[in-house]
Amino acid sequence: MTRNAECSTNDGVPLNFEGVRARGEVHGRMLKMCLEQRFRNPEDQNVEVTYTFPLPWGAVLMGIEVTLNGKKLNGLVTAKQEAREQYEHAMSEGNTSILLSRNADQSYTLELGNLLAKELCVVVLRYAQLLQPEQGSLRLMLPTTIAPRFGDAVRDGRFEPHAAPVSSASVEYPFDISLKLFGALAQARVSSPSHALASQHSQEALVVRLALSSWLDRDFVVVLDELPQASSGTASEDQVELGTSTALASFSPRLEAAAVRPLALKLLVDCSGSMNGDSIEAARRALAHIVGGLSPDDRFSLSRFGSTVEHRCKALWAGAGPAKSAAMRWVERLNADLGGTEMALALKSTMALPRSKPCDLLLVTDGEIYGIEDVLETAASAGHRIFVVGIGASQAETHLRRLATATGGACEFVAPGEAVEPAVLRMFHRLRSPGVADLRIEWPQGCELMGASLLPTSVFDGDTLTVFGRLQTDRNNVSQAPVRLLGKYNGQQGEVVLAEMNLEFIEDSANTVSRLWANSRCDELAKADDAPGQAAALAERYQLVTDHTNFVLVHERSAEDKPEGMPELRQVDSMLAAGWGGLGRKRSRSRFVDAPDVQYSIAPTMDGTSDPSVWRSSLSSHPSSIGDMDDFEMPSFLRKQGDDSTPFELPPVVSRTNPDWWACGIDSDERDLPFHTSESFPSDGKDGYQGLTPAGLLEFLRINAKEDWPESYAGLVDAGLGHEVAEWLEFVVGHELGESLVVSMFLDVVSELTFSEAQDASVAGEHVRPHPAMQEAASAPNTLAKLLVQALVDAQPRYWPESVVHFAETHVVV
Amino acid sequence: MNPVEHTLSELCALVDIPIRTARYYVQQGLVDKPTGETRAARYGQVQVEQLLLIKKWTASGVSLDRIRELLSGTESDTPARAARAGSVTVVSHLQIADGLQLLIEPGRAGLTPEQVRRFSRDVMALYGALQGEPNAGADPSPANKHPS
Repeated sequence: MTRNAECSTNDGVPLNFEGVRARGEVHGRMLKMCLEQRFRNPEDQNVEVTYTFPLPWGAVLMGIEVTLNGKKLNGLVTAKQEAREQYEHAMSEGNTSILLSRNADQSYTLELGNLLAKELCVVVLRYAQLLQPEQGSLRLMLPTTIAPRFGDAVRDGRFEPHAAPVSSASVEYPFDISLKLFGALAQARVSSPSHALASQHSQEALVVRLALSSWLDRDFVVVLDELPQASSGTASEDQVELGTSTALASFSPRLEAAAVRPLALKLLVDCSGSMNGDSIEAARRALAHIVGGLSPDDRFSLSRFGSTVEHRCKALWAGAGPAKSAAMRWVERLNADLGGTEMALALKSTMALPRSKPCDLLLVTDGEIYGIEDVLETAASAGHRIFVVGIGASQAETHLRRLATATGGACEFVAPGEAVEPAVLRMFHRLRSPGVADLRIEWPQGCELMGASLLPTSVFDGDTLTVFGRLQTDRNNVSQAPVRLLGKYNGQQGEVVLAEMNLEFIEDSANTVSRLWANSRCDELAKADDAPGQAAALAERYQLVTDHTNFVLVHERSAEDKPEGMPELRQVDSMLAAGWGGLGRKRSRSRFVDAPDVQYSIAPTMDGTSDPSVWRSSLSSHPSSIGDMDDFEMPSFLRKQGDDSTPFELPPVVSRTNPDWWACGIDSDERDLPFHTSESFPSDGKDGYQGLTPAGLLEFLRINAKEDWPESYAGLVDAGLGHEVAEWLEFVVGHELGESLVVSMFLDVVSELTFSEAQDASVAGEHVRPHPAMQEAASAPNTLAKLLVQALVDAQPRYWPESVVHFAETHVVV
Repeated sequence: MNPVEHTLSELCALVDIPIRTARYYVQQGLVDKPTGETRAARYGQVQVEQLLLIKKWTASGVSLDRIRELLSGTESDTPARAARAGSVTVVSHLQIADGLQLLIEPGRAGLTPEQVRRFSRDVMALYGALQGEPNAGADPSPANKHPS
């Protein structure tokens, strides 16, 4: 299936990278993968190739094999500083060297220095990854490229300058993969939302291959369903520290909820430019399912962010009635139009929204930022569990998983075009999962436990929980008794067995289990701060590439082969992720049928810092939208009209600079704030509402002939009415009534409002005195008119009543 | 008088920059090449000053592309650089009518999203006025900015 590599030129310079071939095997919960990367120097001079690439979350490099011009070379994992010195020394001596380092974001950079003219170098990376089935489903992901990210790679992403990834839309590298699934997995239902697969049963395994040529432009995702939910464990002798064994226990705890837990959930959606295209569509679908799945006892809030953060809710809403309808409408209107991705600020602002009890935060994002460390710091201080729905063709999986595990939450990932419902259902299951206290592990009697990995902070029903144990024992003791996971939940006093299994002792010549343990131990030590040297020493003993250790290889050249000068740099650009920033895979969706391509860039700003310059996708027919034109009213000729042979004139417009007629949402001096704090929601009604004030709407009705008045909720918004008021009308007042009736009655009631002197001068705080005619209407048998009059009795010239604008907060559905 | 000469290691110790980073700047043309090659390479005061300047600028958040401009002395008010082959840019296509399309690159034009929206509406209104009848084409769906 490997496509013959062709050197496609990029600005006249031939490419040095010929793509990746992956071969993997899964036994039980362990995936062992080989990635073959091919580097070629087609030029006549020596070059230094650098390639920054991602590996999946939880992948641990077990070995690196290098073949240079057909000759096998050996290297070692060494402390970082020393490895770098060896590499640089090799460069200055005219020798060839390879250095593999892990970056701050857990991507890797391979440096191949002094690849001489016309040489070919093949690097094979072998990694092991523990797979974690969740609620009977397993998602196997292999990222193939790093998508462009918001921020600066060096400053925010803590990359060294030579390692910073760069994207290009004109490079193309082939990708091939095949997987062998053994055991129970061979019977699973296999599918892929990212690639066309072909599968075939051999005697012992299910072999999965790509059906079409593919590229390094999107995550490779395989979903295995209908898996048995069972705990399992293995143990093997450690070949580094003799006389010890390592146990690996994968628990699948079952927690039976006593009652359905009501949720308190703050939703936060990424609406930055990078979400444009497939990602924002997937986000809308996911959120529609999430909002749809809320019940009346649940409480939720809605927020979206980009360079700024916008909160739809002042406080948590109930999951029913008009609030739910308003939420669905909000989801439909979501667009990737808020610019950059200031995630830390957005999280901080959302966490500051008021709540009365412990609250979770559900973040829907593609995670494409550099500055994840700031986000992690913010998240840790917040007291919210963060659940993440990751969206996109090339996801920042590592970022998002770190965010979730640091706060006790969980992650789900959705590829473009993939059905979101299963992921959303699993997420709800976790959110409603009962809390567990006093979690502990009981190891078999007779096992001398030297140490064990830390238990995670949360446990969810049906998800996998993995723990390592270091045992000073032999295999006989290990196999006899079960390992148990115990805890207390549902408010019960006694401890309950949540899961248990017997450890299976295996032969492990590659020492995989112990090295996996060593890797997780290195992570723990690195976080601990008080043992800086220990992590590096442990990593070196077990030959693991970590933040403190690199893999280095030096190949000495004979005197006649040595190059004369230092090598020219050849950075391998990353392929632009498919579906990113509007380069959608599926452009035939109904909304954007004739839409031309939209591309996204990082354009330099005046001061040299990089700020994405984003514009949303092109205009197109969008019949389902409310047609929210919030800048100024849509001239009526742009709305659909019947035959009209009168000469054309621009219709009158209500001025938006007059504060009596137009509320602009926030104070002008607050406009520079990147986010709205809860302090900027005062209770005097002037709280984020943007649109025509009551006086403004009255003015509109005065200057437009009655036949030009809006006849629909969408028409009201077109005319400039803020969508909160239109939604109140639609969901609260017009709940079971005809749209045109409600709208016309509403406009009649408004047109009867009188504000003394308000239309000529600015007078604030003037209460509406019902017109004498209105009072008759109020006592008339028309209950709709009465309802509207009563609802609007608190209207002031500049402010709609609190109960109208914040109908979702104040209106309780019986 | 001989100018002071440093090896790469000495240079990096002097300015406190990692060796690979300094070498990267040389490869990128941000710092002048040394005299001599590989082991015999020697760097002088020029490179010291270039490295210190780069260090100062990166510390204040200036991107390397911008630094390249500043060092080569091609400062200009508008960031009008020739696009690198394979680079990606934003262009918005506003379909006014069949055969009439407006291409907008807001970043380059220096317009805020609000200004672009207003401009788009005005252009469509202008076209409508010329035609003397409602624009029967695409119903413009504006960018959604949600006040809340």
